[in-house]
Amino acid sequence: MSACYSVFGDAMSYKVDKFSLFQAEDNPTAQEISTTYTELTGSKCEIKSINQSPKILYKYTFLASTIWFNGSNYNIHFLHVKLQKSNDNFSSNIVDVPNCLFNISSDTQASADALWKTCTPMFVLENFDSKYLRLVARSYSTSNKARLHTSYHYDGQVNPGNIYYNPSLIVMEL
Amino acid sequence: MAHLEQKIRNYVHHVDTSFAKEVISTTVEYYPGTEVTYTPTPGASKVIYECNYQISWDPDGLGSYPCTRLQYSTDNGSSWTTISGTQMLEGNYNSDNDYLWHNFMYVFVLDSWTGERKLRLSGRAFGSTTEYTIGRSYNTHTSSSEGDGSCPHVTVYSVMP
Repeated sequence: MSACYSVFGDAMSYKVDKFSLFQAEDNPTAQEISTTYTELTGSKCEIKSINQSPKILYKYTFLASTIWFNGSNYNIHFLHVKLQKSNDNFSSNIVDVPNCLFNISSDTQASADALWKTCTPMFVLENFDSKYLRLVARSYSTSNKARLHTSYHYDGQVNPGNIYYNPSLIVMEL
Repeated sequence: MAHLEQKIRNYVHHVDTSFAKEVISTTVEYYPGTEVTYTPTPGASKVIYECNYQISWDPDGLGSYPCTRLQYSTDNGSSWTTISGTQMLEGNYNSDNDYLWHNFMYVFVLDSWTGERKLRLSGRAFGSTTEYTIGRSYNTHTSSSEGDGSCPHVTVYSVMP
């Protein structure tokens, strides 16, 4: 932190260097999320703050889709999603961030109730004490998988190819 | 690394209070209330376009399949180009009538450009049985009726390197 002083020596204003990140993953490969926790493409970042215990805003957006087989035969999706932090780029130090987890699903009681939807979770982390953040997800069971980032149906066509919603991440030190 | 006021510049917010709900069919149409004319701050590396809006199932209770995209125009809206990586099919399907309403929140992180462009969302239904209505609301009315809901809310800003 640096301070600006007037000629009289009293503080006029402060300029505080703060970390921020704005990134999109262009045309990502589709992720099929099953029962193992998997890092969501483009959700990982290194927090390069010069401040101790910064307050961090983390916002990520992605598309989650029910997987269609044929006719009215769908893999009804039900995902567990959680935010994790690490000091070593998730090599061995991997910690779930408390109070930063959620579910997304279609109607899990119906046999054919499909859902395709963007999801934009946002978290504010007080006194952040680590170096890296990411989102991971898994499905409730192998019958509840989801496909991320791409659309299999679009503009009246089945499997038109190259239809992406780029997963994007905004991280700001507040 | 910089102060956020140095990093984020030139906010534009768009809330169209003259908005009226609109049924979207199988021809690509402009989503009313989402168009912004924007010139990035010189030297910006990214432009962020964020939009929150709602749709209702009407007129097709079995499902809504909005096929949405972000577009830009460099000729004041005479022609439009779809931006790669901003396309998605959303919505729902059920074998019985499901009557779902959805709220969508998009965040697009775009490479910056020079000069003025118009940005807008547009889309179409996947098919004639999966049409939907932008901005139709039910719960804002005390009687058993429906009407206009919230218009889309849009914000655009520049990110400096």
